[in-house]
Amino acid sequence: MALMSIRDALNLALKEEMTRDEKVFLLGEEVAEFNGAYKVSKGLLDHFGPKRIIDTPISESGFAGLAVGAAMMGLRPVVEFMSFNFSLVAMDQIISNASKMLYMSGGLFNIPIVFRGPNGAGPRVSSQHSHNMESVYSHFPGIYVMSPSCPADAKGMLKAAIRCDDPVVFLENELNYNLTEEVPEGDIVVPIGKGDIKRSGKDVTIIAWSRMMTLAKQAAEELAKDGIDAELLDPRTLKPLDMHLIAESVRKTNRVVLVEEGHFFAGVGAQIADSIYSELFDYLDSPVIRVAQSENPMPYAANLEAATLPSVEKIIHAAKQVLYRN
Amino acid sequence: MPISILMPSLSPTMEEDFIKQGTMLCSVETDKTTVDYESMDEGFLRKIVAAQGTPAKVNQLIAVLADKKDEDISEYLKKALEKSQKLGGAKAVVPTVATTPLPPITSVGATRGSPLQTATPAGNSAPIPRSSDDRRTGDERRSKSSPLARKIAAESGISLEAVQGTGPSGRVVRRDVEGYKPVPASAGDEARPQFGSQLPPAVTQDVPLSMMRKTIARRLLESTQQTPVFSVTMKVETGPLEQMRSQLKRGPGHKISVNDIVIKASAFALRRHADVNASFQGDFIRQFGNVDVGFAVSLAGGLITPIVKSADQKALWTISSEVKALVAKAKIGKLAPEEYQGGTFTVSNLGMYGVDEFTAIVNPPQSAILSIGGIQPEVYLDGGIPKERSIMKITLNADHRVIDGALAAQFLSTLKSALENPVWLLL
Repeated sequence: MALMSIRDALNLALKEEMTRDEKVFLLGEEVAEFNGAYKVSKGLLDHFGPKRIIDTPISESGFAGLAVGAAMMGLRPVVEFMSFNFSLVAMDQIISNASKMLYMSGGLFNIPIVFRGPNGAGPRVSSQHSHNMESVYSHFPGIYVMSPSCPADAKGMLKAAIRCDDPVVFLENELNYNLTEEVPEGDIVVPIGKGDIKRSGKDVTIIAWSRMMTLAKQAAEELAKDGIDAELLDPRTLKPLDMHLIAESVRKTNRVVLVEEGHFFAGVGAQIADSIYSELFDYLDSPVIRVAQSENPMPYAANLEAATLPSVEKIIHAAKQVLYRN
Repeated sequence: MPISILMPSLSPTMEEDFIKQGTMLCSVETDKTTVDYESMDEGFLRKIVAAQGTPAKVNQLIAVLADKKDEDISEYLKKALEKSQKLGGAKAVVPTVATTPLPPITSVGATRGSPLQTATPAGNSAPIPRSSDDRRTGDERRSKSSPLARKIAAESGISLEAVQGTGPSGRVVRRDVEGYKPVPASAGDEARPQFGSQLPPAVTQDVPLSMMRKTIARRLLESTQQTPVFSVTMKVETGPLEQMRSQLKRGPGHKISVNDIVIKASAFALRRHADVNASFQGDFIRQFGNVDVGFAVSLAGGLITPIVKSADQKALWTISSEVKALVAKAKIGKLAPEEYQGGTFTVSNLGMYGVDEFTAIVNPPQSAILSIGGIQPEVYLDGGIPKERSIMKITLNADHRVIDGALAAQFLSTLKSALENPVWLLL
């Protein structure tokens, strides 16, 4: 075990995977000379050289398309978006090419690409740079969507993503890069599609991922003071969902709070809630309650930004609501 | 294409009238209530099969609608009538018996038959009429409960109607079902009062009448206003009865209750006093050939009187088993109409609440109802020497139009003898 930040865990995963498989290479804006906008690729240029750590022009559509071509030719690109907000200009490559190529080519071309980078609201980057992209990418068939909440998962999940023969959208979080926890040594891979119980409890299942899990953990501590024993479930992979784990938890607690940083309408939480209603209806003692970003463009003002996003208080309130304790 | 309208009695308009969807076709009267039957189809009313005021069975053909005024429906009518005759004899679907054990029988004063379900004479295939006096919106009428609460309630045989919901808008949630305590079976549980701050705050509120409450109110008012009733009470020494019960307890199977024995003894006495097992019918008194004994079962917000049919011909054990099954069904609202309608006599037992004696209200068209008080010790004189024994008081409330005082006394006397010599009931 070693104490490590999510940033360093991702760096280590890249390093280990690139060492293991010479077909893996990293490309993106500022990933090489500048060691990455958020230093996830720190030291990799020195270690692997400019053929495998490639700085690109500011042209997401171009380098995402380049990666699709490279993948078709047998390489395994890791594409870093400086921010997932910028993936919007590369969406045609991601959705129409990367995730449909296997189907369109009649099974000839696998596209083993990882599209990774920070997702969601940074501090005060306002309405155009605070998007949460998970619900958008998980909508389309042909692509996996993952989002880690802790360093151990960040490392194990990125390894799984790089080893996957199909495209993966790998969503990190700027505010979480410094989150430091112990990471087990060795080549540990967290399989795609496998969630994790971050805290075992019996009264309510709080489902959250990425930075929302950090808030959920704080909420669970506060709830414990009120005698409420919350279970924290991190699906880790948002598509496909670990419904087995969710079912196991819901059967135990009978109450669910879904937390996501993205907007309320058509969020990933809406999909999870739907799956719970369809498959676990008889186990529910309360309607599922969702805590999500409100339906407004992200304000620049810090107080309004905070009001727009989920918070520990909102999660606590929702948990009490499903427990009829308000 | 003609359309068959299946269901009970009509009081409609003329044939050839155009019927729109939602038009009130007729009123369907059951023993419990009268409901409007609105048409679910459209067309010209071409044939009224069931005449006004006549009884009709569930699924029986009552009328035929057709698209056109002059469409030939003779062939269709013939087939529909044949089908209706086949179906007409079919019994209403009997719900499955609850297998979960339920709290013991707890009964209160009496009413007629039983108004548990909203009156739908419908079998499983007939359209369900809407009750004319239950026109609140679906949301108001529906009792809310969480899916989990429904599941747990079904598994534990608890009727959700009986459970007070504590969730939003009175939603019944898990804690309500798990914390639900059925009406206590022993006086001891009931008798422990709550004190001071344990009590919920007192509020004035208007509690809407449930269908059951309305029926109870109407029928019992009718009974008290229209029946000249008198009551006769006797003491029954219960030593032998208790001794027999404790002997039976040593045998296999479930316990035989005092109530089971009272039902059996009542049947025994009724068989010997056919003039008590009777009904006032205006121009005549009908004495029933069958002895069908109803017994009052208390439910949340009301009561119901399931019936042990031909109780005079059944062994005590059979009666006891039937009572158990009927109570279980009653508690979850699953009694079939024939299981609570048409009794010839009723027994109501408040003994378990520590009641000495009481007078239940006669349940028309029956002529008598028996009220059972609790077993209690008393001191009596045996040749001038004070001794202790246990007794219970039984009271017969009787319709004087059918039963005179002497007859009531004779009947009670036979009943008393049977209860004091309970081995008779084993023969």
